[in-house]
Amino acid sequence: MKLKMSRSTAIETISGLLILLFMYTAISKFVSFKTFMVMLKLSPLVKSHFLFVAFAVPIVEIIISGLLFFQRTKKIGFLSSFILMLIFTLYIAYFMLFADDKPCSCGGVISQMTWGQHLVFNIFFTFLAFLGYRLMKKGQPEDNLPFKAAIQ
Amino acid sequence: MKKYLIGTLAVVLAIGAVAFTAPSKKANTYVQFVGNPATLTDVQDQTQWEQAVGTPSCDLVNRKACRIQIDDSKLITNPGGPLLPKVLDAAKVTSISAAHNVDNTFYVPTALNGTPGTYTIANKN
Repeated sequence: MKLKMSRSTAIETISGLLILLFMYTAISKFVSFKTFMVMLKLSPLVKSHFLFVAFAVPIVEIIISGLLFFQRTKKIGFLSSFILMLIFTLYIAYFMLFADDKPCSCGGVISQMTWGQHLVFNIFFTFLAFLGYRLMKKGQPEDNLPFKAAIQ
Repeated sequence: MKKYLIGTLAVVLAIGAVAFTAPSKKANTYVQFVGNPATLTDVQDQTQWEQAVGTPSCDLVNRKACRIQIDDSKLITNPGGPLLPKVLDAAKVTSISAAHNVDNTFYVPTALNGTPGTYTIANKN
């Protein structure tokens, strides 16, 4: 029973941290929307679709926050978070390896980080999202057993 | 309700954090070069100089066009639409003088013509 409690606490904590991250960066992008667009326009990877990306990224972040908020959609929320964080991490790694100019199109105080710090930060949250997904997957069969609490 | 407590707290914290870190309106306005610095007509094109909310990072090395600090009354709505950042007003900044950079590869602006008022050009490496 104790193990189940700590697992659910871990799931709630991880989802809370991811919601905080996605909501903060999404709102920051909308607040500084013009700066965000200029940065995307300067990015060699997305400049041809900068307007679409400028709207899509914060909207996707808010949708994922919504998925992580509700119990029924948390699992797909963790999976989506993992995929999105993986894309962000690969994007940063690409810039660190191949780009001369490195325009940071990140939201809020995260844009103040160095590229190395940003990479470590993203890897950490990618791992958290993966961990959340694994915990949800692991937890599901138990939740389906009504007599599990009695056994424990 | 209890199971939504952490999620709700996270949303409230995120909104609060943005409110405390939102950029304040600055007296200095910067336009940032968004064109190709290897193309002379891009550097001379007023619409390739877009307003930046913060201060674009430029190391002042005269290799590539980067930013110009200018009074925001010299800017107009982007021809691409009102959602896009403002650009230099061609009625006030009638032309932009540009020259080859230190190693003859890219172009950098050297002066604004017309009635640009006070401005500062900063280029980058």
